[in-house]
Amino acid sequence: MSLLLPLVFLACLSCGAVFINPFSGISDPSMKLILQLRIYRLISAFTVGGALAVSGVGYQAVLRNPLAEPFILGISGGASLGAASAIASGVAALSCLTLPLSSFGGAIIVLCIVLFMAKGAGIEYTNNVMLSGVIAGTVCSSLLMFIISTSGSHELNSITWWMLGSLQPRDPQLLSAVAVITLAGTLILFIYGRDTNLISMGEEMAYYLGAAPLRLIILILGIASLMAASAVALSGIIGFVGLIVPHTLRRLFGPDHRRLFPLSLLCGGMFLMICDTIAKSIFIPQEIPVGIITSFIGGPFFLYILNKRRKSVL
Amino acid sequence: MTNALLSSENINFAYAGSAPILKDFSFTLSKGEFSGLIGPNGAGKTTVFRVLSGFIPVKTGAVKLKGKNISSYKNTERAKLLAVVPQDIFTPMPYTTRQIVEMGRVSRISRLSVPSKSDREHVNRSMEAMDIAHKAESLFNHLSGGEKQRALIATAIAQEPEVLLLDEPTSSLDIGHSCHLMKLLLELNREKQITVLIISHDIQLAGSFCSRLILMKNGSILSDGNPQEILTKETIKEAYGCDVELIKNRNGRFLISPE
Repeated sequence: MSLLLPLVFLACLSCGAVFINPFSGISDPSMKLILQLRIYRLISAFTVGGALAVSGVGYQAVLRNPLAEPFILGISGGASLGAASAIASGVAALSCLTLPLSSFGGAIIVLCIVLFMAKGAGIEYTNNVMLSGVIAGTVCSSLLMFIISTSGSHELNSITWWMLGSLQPRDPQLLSAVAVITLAGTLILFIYGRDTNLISMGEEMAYYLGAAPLRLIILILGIASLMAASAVALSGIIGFVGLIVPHTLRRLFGPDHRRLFPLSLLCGGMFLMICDTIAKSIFIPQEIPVGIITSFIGGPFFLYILNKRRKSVL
Repeated sequence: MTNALLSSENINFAYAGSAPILKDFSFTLSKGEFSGLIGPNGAGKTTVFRVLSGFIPVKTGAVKLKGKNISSYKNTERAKLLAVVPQDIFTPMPYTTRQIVEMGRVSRISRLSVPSKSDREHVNRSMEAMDIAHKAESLFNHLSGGEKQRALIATAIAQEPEVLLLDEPTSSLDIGHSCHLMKLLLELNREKQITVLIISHDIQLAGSFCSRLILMKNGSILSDGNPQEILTKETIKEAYGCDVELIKNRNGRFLISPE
């Protein structure tokens, strides 16, 4: 699978408004610039796709629900609400780190609210987490609407740019920060892969098998949230990557998380590189938001998973 | 007692905002025992397991495993001594039986290393011991009730524990599978010296296989002793509120029949 990565990278590198053969010597400085921009953008796509897919795998394991993903739990909503407030209040302009930090803060606040609202539900815990997530997401989007309706045209532009989701990196430092978080997060989750297997059996069973359930849940949800929040900080909202990539990989390679975490980094990254290349090449010179492409593939897939679950119950 | 393996002293426990479930619960399990924990629905049997394993921490009293407070064990160290098979397990993940049994080894494998040859052998032997090796590559969620039970017990054996607690392992099994499972557990107890405590609703079955029965009612122990002492007309009436007739069979054991 990792052998595919350079191939996909090169293929995506050469496609776009103009076709560039990366193997031919490039002397034209404008071509060089285009190539450099494309490389940045591909790294950004790989980072965001990988982070969202790994994060989805973590959520699905801990919440023991195949339909869980950062989006559904309202955490992406929280992250974009945090980012939008930072843009609207002007803090985002202070440093390149305030935007991802406020988006991370938004995500963590929403996660805490979701987990708190679901508390005390006993055996229905995971169902309640999902329901609370949907409610928190709705509250977030109405607050987002409030911020949008009260902000000036410049801020409005930035926020709208956000909501559409774009992989064009604005700041190489921000990109490298998110890339480091994504790689480090995936590495830690990989190390805790067998513990993740245990927690996917439920808290009680995980405890009997030698895990510390609460510590593990906080660790996995924390890392998954950090990764999702930083991905959203970099690119805005890009849906369904966290859902379709984990499901496809589980179908192909089984549910062992020790394998699933690194595989979803690779495949989530490649999937978004391909989707982004399609998004910018399909209506040249008009570029369409990559979220449209991922959702277009993700939407029908989501319905397919739902139907499959229903069938297995009957 | 020198050979006390797992014991609890004066445990009082209630879930938040509910009536007490365990009242002054004191109990000792000695090395090599094969015992049954019986009692009517809601007597607190499953809670006893959660308390004895330390899953529910207690505020009053103490639970001791090999003389040491259960809460002072590291989770992985505890899992090497004590294994619990819960009543039912749900996972949405499509794990194979082998992957489930391999989870029994996680406490013995360092996070930075891969399973060793001996880990794989333990997994294979545990599956063979529980007669589930032929389903190793099948999906756990597709197994029958009896096969799931045996797979979960194989997982517990893969932990190489000294004590094995089983919550109603025969509840979803027919008489043939129940007997088969109880015989397998008895073999484990004798050959590997694993101390076994079983929760059972089938007092007939528990009485036939266990050498000691602990009868619970309303969160405390009503009586404790060998099956002949426990399974009498009077105690069954007191515990379950049901009139029974005891019929002696040719082995001298009593058969319990509702009156």
